[in-house]
Amino acid sequence: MQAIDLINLGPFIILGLGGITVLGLGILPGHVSTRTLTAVTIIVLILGTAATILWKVPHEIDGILVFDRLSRLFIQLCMLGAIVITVLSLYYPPTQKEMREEYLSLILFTTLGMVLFISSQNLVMAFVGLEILSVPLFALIAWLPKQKHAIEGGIKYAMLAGIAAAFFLYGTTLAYVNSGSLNITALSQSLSDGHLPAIAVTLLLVGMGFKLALVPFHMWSPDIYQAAPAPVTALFASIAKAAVLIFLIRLLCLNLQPVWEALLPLLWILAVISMFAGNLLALFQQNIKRLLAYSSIAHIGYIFVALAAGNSLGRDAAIYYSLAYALMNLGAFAVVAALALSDKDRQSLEEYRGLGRQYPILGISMAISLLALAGLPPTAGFVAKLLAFGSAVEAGHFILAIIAVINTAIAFYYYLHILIIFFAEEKERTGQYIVPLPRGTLASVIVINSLIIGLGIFPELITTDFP
Amino acid sequence: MMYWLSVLIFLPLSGALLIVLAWHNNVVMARRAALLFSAAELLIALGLWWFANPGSDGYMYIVRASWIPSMGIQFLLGMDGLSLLLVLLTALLIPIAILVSWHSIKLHWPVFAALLLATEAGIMGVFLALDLILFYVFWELMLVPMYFLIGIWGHERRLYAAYKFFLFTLTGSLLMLVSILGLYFIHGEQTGTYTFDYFALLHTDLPDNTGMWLMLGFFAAFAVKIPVFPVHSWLPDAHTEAPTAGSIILAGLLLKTGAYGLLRFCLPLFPEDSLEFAPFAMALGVVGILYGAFLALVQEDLKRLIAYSSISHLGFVVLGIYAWNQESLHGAMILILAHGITTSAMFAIVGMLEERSHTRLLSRMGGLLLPMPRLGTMLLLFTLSAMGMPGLANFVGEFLVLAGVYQISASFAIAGAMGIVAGAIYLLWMYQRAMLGEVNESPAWRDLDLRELSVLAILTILVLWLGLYPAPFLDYLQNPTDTIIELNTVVITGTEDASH
Repeated sequence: MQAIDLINLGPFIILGLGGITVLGLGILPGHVSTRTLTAVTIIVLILGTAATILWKVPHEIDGILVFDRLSRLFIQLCMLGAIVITVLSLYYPPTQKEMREEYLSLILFTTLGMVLFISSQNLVMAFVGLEILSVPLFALIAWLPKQKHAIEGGIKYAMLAGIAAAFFLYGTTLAYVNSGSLNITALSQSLSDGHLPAIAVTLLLVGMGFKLALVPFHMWSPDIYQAAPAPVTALFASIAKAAVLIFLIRLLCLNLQPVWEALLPLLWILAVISMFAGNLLALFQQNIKRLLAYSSIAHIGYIFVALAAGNSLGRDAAIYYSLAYALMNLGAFAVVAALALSDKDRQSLEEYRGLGRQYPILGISMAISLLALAGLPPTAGFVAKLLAFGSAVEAGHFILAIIAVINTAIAFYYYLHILIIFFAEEKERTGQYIVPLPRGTLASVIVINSLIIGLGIFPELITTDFP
Repeated sequence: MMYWLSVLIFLPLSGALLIVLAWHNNVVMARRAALLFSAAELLIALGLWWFANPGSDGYMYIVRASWIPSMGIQFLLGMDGLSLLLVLLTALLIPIAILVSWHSIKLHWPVFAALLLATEAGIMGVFLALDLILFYVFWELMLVPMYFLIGIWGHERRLYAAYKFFLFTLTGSLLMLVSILGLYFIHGEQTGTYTFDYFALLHTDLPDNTGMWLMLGFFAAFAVKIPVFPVHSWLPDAHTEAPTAGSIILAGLLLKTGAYGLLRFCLPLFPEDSLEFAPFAMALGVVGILYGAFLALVQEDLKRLIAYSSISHLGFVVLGIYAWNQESLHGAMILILAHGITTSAMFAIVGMLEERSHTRLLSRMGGLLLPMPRLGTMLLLFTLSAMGMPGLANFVGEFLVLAGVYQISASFAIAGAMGIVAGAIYLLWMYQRAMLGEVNESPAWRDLDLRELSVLAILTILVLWLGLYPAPFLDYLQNPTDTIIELNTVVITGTEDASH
């Protein structure tokens, strides 16, 4: 262990200690206000982000954790996302009275899980990261137990996370059998000729597929999206998935190229079914959270279009798409969270009628996020699709590119549908007066949407960090 | 001097932002600011026209800046004669659209003005962009504000129309995106430089079938916009349901972006495949001419009637483009301008009628010439122009197209001429039912006021200018036409060489 290792471990240590500190503040004598707790949480996250800047890249710790520009970029994304989610939760009416030190420390711990997962170089380390990521989510999903389906959602997520973990571990074991090592770099050097590596990676892929809600492992996602409080949904719909995607890309594209090439047909098929299933199920969905859940499934499909290309552009496209995906979903769910009623989220699309006019900033933000999800320039969503379709075309997958394009066109229908409802005339004034929105919520929404547009116009700001 | 091209795009965009931010509660200021911004834009466009000095390749102004160098995407704008005239048309029609909506838009004027200016920025970008990705960005960018213009300020079935408009055009343009990417990679593999630069991609050597597929991707996007016969069905709905300003922009500018795309991208990038495809495209054009004309015959709704007549007129444009000779190309380009002006004027007049009577149905009009002589006269002038009356704008275009097409195929020319005859029938019949005969209902008809009259007067001058003395416009079109014809001859001599 050297000093440089300690510096590089900074973000992890800060997050872990921060989580414990927040918990500890709760047992102090005397009442610590939620605002103070939130402030501490946010300071921890900012310190964690700052610590990544001190990193010496590239660096590795004993084949367990890897510190490169890619992991730095995504750790910063996760920290930013966690800050946004903390702010949103603070002002989220249904959790107003329920949000104490446990909630905030769980957010810090799940973020710790993400950053470990992003930078892990070892399958067991990845497993640990995945579990630290998932376990706090069981509790967070069921945080408001009086809400309909909340407990059901939490248990469902716990069971599926268990199944996913089982697959992941099985894959890990097979990989160990194959090469006698758990380090993914070592794994790549001792690939045997048989089908074993491909099977091992497929099992790992299944494990991660559950987390990503990749078809056919997507059944849980609409229910749990709907059941969880909106800020928590924002958490596992955006940065948690980005973390999983980055580990997948690190495993498949950066280390195990031969296996990647062997799995291309599988990725091709997964891409097609995910896109079609997601988009067709979203098409007539009237519940906004379920709709966004289905649209997420479709977006995972577009990312797999890039992965199925099997070239370096495909890898870059998948990385860029993961980041854009996290931002866009965060933006959309942030608006859902900001517009929540005093005791629950607005679920049905009709409940959003005319809100874009009442709250112009939220309306415009929703428009930007949704048009980015739809893939319109000049947003990050467009560049992501451009890169993804470009990689497919470069690989000669014209049919896949055209299928993806058709899906994009289908998706426009439901995104526009949401927007039209947002900006439609209200049927009658239902006596609701316009509540001024808290500044913190507005600021986080504005930051996310500026990033969506900024990265769409200047994608090179982040593509230089790609491997 | 060069950076003025970017000003053309960013001025309306910043205007839109400013209006939304500063005057979102102040209708009067928003209206004035919108008019001011669009007038400034027009002045810049006129200035560019004044100082235009064509280079050897026909481009008067080029702006080149690097944007995303790792993918070879540039901020590349260029203006040749064709772009210049279309930019002028755009800069002219937007202030007219603003003036026409002055009192008729009751809701959210500031947002409306911002969306109009944003559309203008997108359309300017389309006419200027010479980097394929940049072009695609603007191509999509002009859709979104248009969607909201139709979807929020439109008539009864506005949502249906807005969806249909968006989904049709979007599907087409996404297919174009795949083609753009295909072309990019084929060019990159051959030359080693991966770029979306229009000039670099011009001489890409395409494998046999691939070229045809890529060309069809581009054609799909442009055909939807024009619209060509089987993919036209969004147009009558969008035109009818849009507010007057929306109809003016749709008919006057958006349809032109499709024709412009054919001339700028489809033919030059894929000359061989376009030549092979030309007979089909011409057939589609002719079907469009006749189909549009026959459907216009039976329309009750004035806007729908004009919409179908647009399909018919744009059929001439397609016919002229794919006939691919001097006369027909000149004709197509002049017709693009003439149709833009004439149809905008007609939509403006229908909008004025609707403001007064709240109906667009011919059956509820009649005898309106008597209470409103000025409006009646104006409508007569533009109706005659749309019919192709010699001395007015459309005649020059249609005549040249037919003259060009006749050299290629007499039967297509005759079919096209039939379309003109049908056009005369439905337009005159329309005029007769609306303006002549007995007065059906009489709300208190007011004749045109000064604002309306000046809008129409500007358009009248242009219709007469294009009709009586088109030579200055044709001069600007000479160079772009030559470039396209050159491609044709290269292809033909090329194939002859191969056969020897």
